[in-house]
Amino acid sequence: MLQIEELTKLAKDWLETVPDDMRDKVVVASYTAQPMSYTPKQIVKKIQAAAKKSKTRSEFLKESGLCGEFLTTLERMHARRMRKGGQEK
Amino acid sequence: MSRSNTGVFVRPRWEDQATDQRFAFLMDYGYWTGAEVVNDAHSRDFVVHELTEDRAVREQLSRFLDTHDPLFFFHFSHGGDDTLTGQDMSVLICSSPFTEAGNDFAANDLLLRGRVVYTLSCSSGSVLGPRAVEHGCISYIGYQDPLWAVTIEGPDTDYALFEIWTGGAKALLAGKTTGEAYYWLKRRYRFWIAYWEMIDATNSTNAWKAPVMLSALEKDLKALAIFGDLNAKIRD
Repeated sequence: MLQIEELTKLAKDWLETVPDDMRDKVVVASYTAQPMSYTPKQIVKKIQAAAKKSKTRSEFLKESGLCGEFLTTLERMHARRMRKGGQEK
Repeated sequence: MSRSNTGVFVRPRWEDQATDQRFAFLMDYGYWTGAEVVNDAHSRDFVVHELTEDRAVREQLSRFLDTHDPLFFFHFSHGGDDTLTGQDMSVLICSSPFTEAGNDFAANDLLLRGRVVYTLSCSSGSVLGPRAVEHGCISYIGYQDPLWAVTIEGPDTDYALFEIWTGGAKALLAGKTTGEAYYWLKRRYRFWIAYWEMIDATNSTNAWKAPVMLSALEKDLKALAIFGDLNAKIRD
């Protein structure tokens, strides 16, 4: 399992792969009574803010809220790529 | 009067959450999805009653259900644990007493009694769905946690969710049982999850979308829920 710094780097590296014209566009949103929506930049910003406030991985994921789930998806995908012996994109 | 082959399609739309992608607002995605379901229902000679936009409110719904008493209840809007919303986030159905515009109202989930419900909305599978079934709703397909939409435009992004969400309702309209529709939905979520896992393993220029799609698809799949009769049908 990756720790806070590595997870934050994963998120920042992911943002680098997002085309410039998509970084400020809403990419995901919810049909909750209080609608939530995120752009790629907002996802990473929330993750970075959580990193500053947290001391442990679990605190970090909790603080990241729904972006924490995005982060664990990124982590899983990263682990799979590593297992396959591939290099990070 | 046979209640089969008849449905109410509740489709509010307002300027809720700006998305500025294929559509301007999040509710536009719901309206697009609902329109496809309605078109499919028409093509199958299903009797369609629509409550759209300003008509998608509690008073109209209540009056409408009293008059037409349809078996099928289709809904796409925002939701909460015990609530389905109507136009402008008004309370449409709620399984708890609620207050709106300073007035108190009693729970009205009995409106779903004797109906098959297919709702695309957040979280109502956690409280409203089970309670409605306790109170006589035949079957309830919904989501126990937030329902996430991906708004990135493309045949394998926003359209993938469109395909899944319309497909569940189309399965019911085609005469499948609620259980069959539910398991069809699960299979389609898994299909698109496998697809995006594969894209991620490539050097595709689409790979940046994979974590967005996967986290939304996985969360939606986990939240999908069915209550009540798995053998109910909305067609004769």
